[in-house]
Amino acid sequence: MNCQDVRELSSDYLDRRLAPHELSALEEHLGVCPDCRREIEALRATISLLGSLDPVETSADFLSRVHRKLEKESRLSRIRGWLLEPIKLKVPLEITALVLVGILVSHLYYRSPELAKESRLSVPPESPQAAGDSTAERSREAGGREVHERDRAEPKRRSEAAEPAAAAEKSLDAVSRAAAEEVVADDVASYEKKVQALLAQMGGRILGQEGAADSVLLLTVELPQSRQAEFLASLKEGRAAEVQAPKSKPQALQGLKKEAEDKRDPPATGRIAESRAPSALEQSPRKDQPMVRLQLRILPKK
Amino acid sequence: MTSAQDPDKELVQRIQNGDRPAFNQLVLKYRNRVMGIAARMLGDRGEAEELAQDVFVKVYRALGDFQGAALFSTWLFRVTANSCLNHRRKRRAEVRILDGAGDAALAVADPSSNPHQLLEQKELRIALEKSIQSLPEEQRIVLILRDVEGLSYEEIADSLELELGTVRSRLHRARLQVQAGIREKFSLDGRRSDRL
Repeated sequence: MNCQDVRELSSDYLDRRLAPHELSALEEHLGVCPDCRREIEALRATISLLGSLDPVETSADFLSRVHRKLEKESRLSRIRGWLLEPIKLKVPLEITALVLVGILVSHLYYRSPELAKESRLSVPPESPQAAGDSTAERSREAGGREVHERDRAEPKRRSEAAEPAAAAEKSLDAVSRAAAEEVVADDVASYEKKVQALLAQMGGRILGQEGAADSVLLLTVELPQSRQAEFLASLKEGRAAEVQAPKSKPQALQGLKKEAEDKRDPPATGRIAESRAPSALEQSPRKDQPMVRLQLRILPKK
Repeated sequence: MTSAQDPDKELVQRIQNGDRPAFNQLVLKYRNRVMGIAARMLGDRGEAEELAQDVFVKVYRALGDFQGAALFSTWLFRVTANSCLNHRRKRRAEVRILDGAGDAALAVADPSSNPHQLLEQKELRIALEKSIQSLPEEQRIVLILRDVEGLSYEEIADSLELELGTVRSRLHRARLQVQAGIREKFSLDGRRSDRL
């Protein structure tokens, strides 16, 4: 072992990390080399000095300052949690909430003709051409209103032309609303005409319709509130027993009367009684007369 | 020493079970050692104190995940060393020596020393601190952990995630450089250079 080897191994020697054969070789060299002995001793003194350095003491309030930092960290952590937790937790909750709201709105839309109507009225009326081949458009002279029907699978695309009777629509705020009535008819289309006639007799009208005449037909009707009970009674009567043909002679009921006379014996369902002749007031409701809207679901008899 | 023989094992378990006083004990036990490493690595007492506090906050937060694979002290010094190295990388400031307050801490009262000896001793230790500060940081942290804090080679290797051979070579180079620095200082003064 030469001097260079000894200098390289001096730290290991002083830290007692030499293998036995290295240790004996190094000590043998130190026995004959005063320069290496001096270097080793100088390094030992340096290490000793380093070890005698005093600890650098912390301030007296070190512990309380650590606790203050911990408290501050906790507050920041809570704030961070509120801000960042949505990524893990709140986003799924929000998505769930959105889905639930969507389902609720959709449910209300289909269950409430008023909502559907208002939704449609907010959309500019489509031209018949734009409605496309899949649109079953029907125009109806009922209070000067035109109704566009579209495919049932795409109800949101439905739009209805704005009614000329805008003033009547504005008075809807004062109109009370009622639940849907269901009736079963042999001939849905024919029954619809009878309802129209009955409404005309009572000063009411058909506001809108959905569905096809050969399947379930949903009618939204409006009539004076004072005639609601009578109208519903007529419907029930029509469902339960023979419904008399109208005896009055309003223009719109001429065909109905004829049909009623032709079908005096057939099943009672799908026929509407006309109990009395309508007055001029009934046929033409006053604007300040409280109106009620009803939904009528006409089901074809199976 | 294995982790099974960790003298801090019980304290750590108590802290993990939510025992705040146990955490206080741990802070009081290690605060000066953490502070010493930070002060000598950063060369600034104020920054070192802030960093030492942050180290204990980090340790408290992370203690729930501490599995005891290493000694707690080894883990603590690893957190301290990494915090110092990261701090220095961020700061990129000039190496500064400990300020006057730090220097005062170096003056060890020796009853057998006369005033001249005390002054010489103080100068020697200031020179020593300067020599430490002049080391490259990867050598400095090894020297501090070994010769100032007294960690074993293995503990240093674990703390700094280094090979043992790297620890040995860095430590030896650091020692030789510190020795050379002190020699230079005292050979210029014409004092004590014969001992170093």
